[in-house]
Amino acid sequence: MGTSPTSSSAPPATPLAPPPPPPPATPTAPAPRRSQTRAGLGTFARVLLANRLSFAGFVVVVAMGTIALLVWVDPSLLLRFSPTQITPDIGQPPSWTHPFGTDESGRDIFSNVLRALPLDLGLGIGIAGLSLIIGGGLGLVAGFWDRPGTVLGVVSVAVLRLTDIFLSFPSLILALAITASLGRGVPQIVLAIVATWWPYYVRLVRGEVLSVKHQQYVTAARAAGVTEVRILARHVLRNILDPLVVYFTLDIGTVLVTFSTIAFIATPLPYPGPQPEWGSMIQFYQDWLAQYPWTVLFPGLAVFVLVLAFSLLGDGLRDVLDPRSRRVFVRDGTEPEPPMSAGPLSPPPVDARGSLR
Amino acid sequence: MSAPPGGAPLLEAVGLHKDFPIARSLGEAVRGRPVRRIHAVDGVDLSLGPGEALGLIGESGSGKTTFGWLAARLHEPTGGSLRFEGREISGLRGRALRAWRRNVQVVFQDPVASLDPRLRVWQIVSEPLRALTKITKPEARRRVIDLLPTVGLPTDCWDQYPHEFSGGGRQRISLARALSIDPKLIILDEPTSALDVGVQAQILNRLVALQRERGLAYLLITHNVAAVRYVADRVGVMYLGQIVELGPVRRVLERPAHPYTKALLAAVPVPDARRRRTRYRISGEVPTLIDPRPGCRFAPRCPFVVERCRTIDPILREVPGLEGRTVACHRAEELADVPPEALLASGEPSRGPTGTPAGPTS
Amino acid sequence: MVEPVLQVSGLSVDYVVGKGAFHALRNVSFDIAPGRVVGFVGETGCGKSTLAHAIPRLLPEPPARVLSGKIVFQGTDLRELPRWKLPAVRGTGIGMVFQEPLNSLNPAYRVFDQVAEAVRIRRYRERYPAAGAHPAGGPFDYSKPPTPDTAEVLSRPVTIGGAAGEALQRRPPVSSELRAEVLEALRLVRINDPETILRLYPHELSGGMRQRIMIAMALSEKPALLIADEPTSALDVTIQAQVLTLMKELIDEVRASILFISHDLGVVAETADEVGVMYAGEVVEFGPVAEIFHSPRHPYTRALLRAAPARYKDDGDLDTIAGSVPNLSKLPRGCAFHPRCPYAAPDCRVDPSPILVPVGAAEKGAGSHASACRYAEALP
Ligand SMILES: Nc1ncnc2c1ncn2[C@@H]1O[C@H](COP(=O)(O)OP(=O)(O)OP(=O)(O)O)[C@@H](O)[C@H]1O
Ligand SMILES: Nc1ncnc2c1ncn2[C@@H]1O[C@H](COP(=O)(O)OP(=O)(O)OP(=O)(O)O)[C@@H](O)[C@H]1O
Ligand code: SF4
Ligand code: SF4
Ligand SMILES: [Mg+2]
Ligand SMILES: [Mg+2]
Repeated sequence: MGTSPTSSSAPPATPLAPPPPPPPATPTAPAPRRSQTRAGLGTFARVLLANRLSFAGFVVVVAMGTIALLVWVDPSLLLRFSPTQITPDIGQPPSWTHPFGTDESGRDIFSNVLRALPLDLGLGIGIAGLSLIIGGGLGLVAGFWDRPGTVLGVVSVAVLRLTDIFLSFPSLILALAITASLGRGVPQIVLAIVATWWPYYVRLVRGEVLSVKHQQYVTAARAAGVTEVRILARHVLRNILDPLVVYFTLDIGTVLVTFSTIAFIATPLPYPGPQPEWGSMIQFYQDWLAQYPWTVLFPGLAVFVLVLAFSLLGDGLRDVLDPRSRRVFVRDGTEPEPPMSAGPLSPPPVDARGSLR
Repeated sequence: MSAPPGGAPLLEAVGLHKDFPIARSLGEAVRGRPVRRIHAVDGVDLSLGPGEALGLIGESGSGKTTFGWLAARLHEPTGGSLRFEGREISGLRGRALRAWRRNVQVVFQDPVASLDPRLRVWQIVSEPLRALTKITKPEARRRVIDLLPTVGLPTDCWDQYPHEFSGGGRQRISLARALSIDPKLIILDEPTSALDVGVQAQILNRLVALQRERGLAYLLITHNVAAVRYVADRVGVMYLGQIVELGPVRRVLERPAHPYTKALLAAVPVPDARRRRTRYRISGEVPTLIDPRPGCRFAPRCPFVVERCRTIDPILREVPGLEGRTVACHRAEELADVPPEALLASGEPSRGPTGTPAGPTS
Repeated sequence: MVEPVLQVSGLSVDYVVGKGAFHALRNVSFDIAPGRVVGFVGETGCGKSTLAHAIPRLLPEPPARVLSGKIVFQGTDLRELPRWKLPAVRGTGIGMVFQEPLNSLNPAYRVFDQVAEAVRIRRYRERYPAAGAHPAGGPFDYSKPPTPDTAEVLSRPVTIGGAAGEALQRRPPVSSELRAEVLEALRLVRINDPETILRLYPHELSGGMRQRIMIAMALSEKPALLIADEPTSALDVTIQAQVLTLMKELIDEVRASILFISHDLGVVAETADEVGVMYAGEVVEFGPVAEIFHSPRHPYTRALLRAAPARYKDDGDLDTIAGSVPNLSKLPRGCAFHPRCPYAAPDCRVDPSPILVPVGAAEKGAGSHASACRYAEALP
């Protein structure tokens, strides 16, 4: 072996050596610096880009949203034909003029499918959103103020029982039954789906609230004197938002399928008509499936693509929002404490501060 | 009961009690079984002087945290009285309670769970300030920046998130939060049990320095005998919801009088591989907090148990010859001179109902 | 020579954050023989938990990235298994006690459900001994189960899914036998009033109880390897002693091995057969417990052993280990400990960093004592 450490240039302190005086703490200049670890747009882009599938979902959702907006504002911007317009091309397979083909009387499928986009997309988001607001609100109350023996405690028990009752029915059948009794219009179907949808949000939100409200930081806030309402808003709500957003995104797809299914059965909007709708379209064209398969294929594909896009996007969002995927540890966020009583080991403090950012 | 040396107590608990009802199953409710209760804190008398550090050690599940939460009014007592500077606080509610909270702050055990991951350091630290005083945001931020060095954090970390810190760093943030409102008492619930020895020593050094500088009182709840030894002035030992021994830290740790304290100290592991497996292991029936039997609660596991222990409750009393100390044991006088190590030697394994041999395993 | 239960060799793990990378584990190698307890000690942030999570492949990836190394558990390299087979390995062979008891129990389930799950896993294994037989598992991470990504789901064999499948998995009939076994598990870890505790939710337990529930769950699975990350930090010393005895009994019963991580040198001294000392992601010293504690051959181990606090406040401040843990993304050249090392010589500052080499009387006995200090032999 080389030189013995005892004879090296740095003579080691022996355990009995008197402790050298502690070096004075050097005050650091308070140079405010922004921490860059929050799930900002940068992270969002990075994580989405890292996962190609969810990036595809993101692109499709954005594209569909833009198209829906354009169609809704002015259909003639994108579409050459009106939904009910009869063209001379009867039963044509997809071509340049009719990208999705035409039906037995010469209606353009592309125009119809795209005309339906704002309606179906809007309803998917709207129904899921309404359920989120109703169910989420109830779940928040039921989760946060569930102490037995108080008024809100009783309310929360009641909400939970009601939720259980609703959840014990198969939701599609219940929704169908409600539609059947209310009549066939779009508002009725929306009502029917929302009525069967909110209980899931109660469950989800209550579960999340329960797990967050027993976290020590909530108790810590209480000990600090923060009011209950503020605790709910500042600590609880903020910490359950991420799973909610993810679930909501995934849910839009499910709602779309459900709506299309019910529309397929109940045909709320007469087809052909001024406002087409995918479920009704498929219902109308099912008899032509063998002859003109594209008439069924494209509305079906529209549902499929949207649902897939939302679920891929949801998956990606989960990665972005999950704190585990953006956790940064800077172990030396603390000042290296000046050695209180320098032991036998008293080298210069190491590498004072993080250089991560 | 043993008063803190000098002056009126800051916090005084008399016969303090807290129980938690156990939810009945549907079957039990139908059959009309009474609701049973966990008596987590069962008649605790304790007082704490201004500027005093009181350590609280004891068995896991014996109600130490519950007592701490009662003292911070995070739980509502179900019996007894709790006074702060002579004023009864067990009935405080709403606005009055929130106004009182500036007196007592808490540092929790888990450095990860006790900081909201979505808030920045300055928001966390200024939370009590902003909840209890009318202070503007920039002002709060400035106060936080001034405060950070006192807990050993660099001033420029005010804008970071808690996950960017190590365990020790987070515990410093917690401590800064507690200090921000200038409380009179800080309840420290296992502040160092998640930290390694080096960081532990840094935090403990800070705690003692802060106590000297600011005249803070501490209630230090911990399993770490070394931490109590270093920080506390007096120490209380809890067993099954009750205080069994209370006194100045040096005397209790060097000459424990209560058999449970002895057992506890004899069970402290020694960092010495040659003295391997010479820790005392308490044996005997696992006790219950639901319907405690009459008599001494430690009786089923006490190596010194005699007949009267099983029938008569020992009260917390001053013991002649052990000045400044109170002990709840019938045989405190006789046993005072038995050193903890004697438990290891008297290793004739008595078998408890669960069949675990007592004494040192070899 | 007995076949080791676990062989870790050359394991390196980075956490990739933004542009930087934290080298949380660097070239870690060790073996665990059946029926042995290997303890790991080291300062905060030296990678102990990362190691504990890397073995059963529970690291969150990203940000973690396993760069190299082999993790051979009972003859299979876990790094080569497809992901969907991992729950089976975890469920049948490796038990975990996590460091944060509050975050590792599911707040939404009662104690009974969580312990019963563990008991069920063991029974399942006993009934179908073939590895890989556990259905849609992942029962270990009681913190929120990691949600699989789409690609993974697509590559997974089909099991009963949907609401019905979930209901089947969540609520199997509660037999009185299962209940008895759960109660027994709780009694073993000295929980008072187990009958009552079964019905409580995790937040209603004391810190030590939570930790004991975790231990009860891990023990009632009777794993071949138990990875315990700070399993007793929230327990008082009397219960800690009992729980450690219990772990030893598990070893005797099923010849299990334990990987034991602790800050408490006393506990390690008492429990472990071999000790690994970690510094900045590296194992800097590894050897039989008696040698580590009595003739440490690495300056860092010596510093660690001296830092145990034992003093009253009137007697002056507590000793701390001077300096601080190096930034894992910018490690010093050469020996990572050199900036804090009192024995550092000029050649300690040049690459390559010293590696573990046998020292002392490593020849005699099964355990070999190795140190990653250039001057291990020459230390006073
Ligand atoms: N919210 C609650 N609901 C029901 N029981 C509770 C609740 N909080 C505490 N308990 C019970 O009270 C008893 C004492 O718990 P506590 O947390 O005070 O113990 P501790 O002394 O702090 O123990 P440890 O050292 O393990 O932290 C335990 O039996 C626990 O189950
Ligand atoms: N999710 C993460 N993202 C980024 N870095 C991480 C992450 N988890 C851990 N690290 C880093 O990896 C290093 C090792 O962490 P680890 O948790 O393994 O330490 P440890 O030895 O278990 O510490 P402790 O004693 O505090 O439990 C630390 O420096 C930490 O900053
Ligand atoms: S009163 Fe009796 S049983 Fe209780 S501690 Fe004293 S000697 Fe033991
Ligand atoms: S190699 Fe050099 S710097 Fe590293 S521990 Fe040994 S003597 Fe110290
Ligand atoms: Mg506690
Ligand atoms: Mg760890």
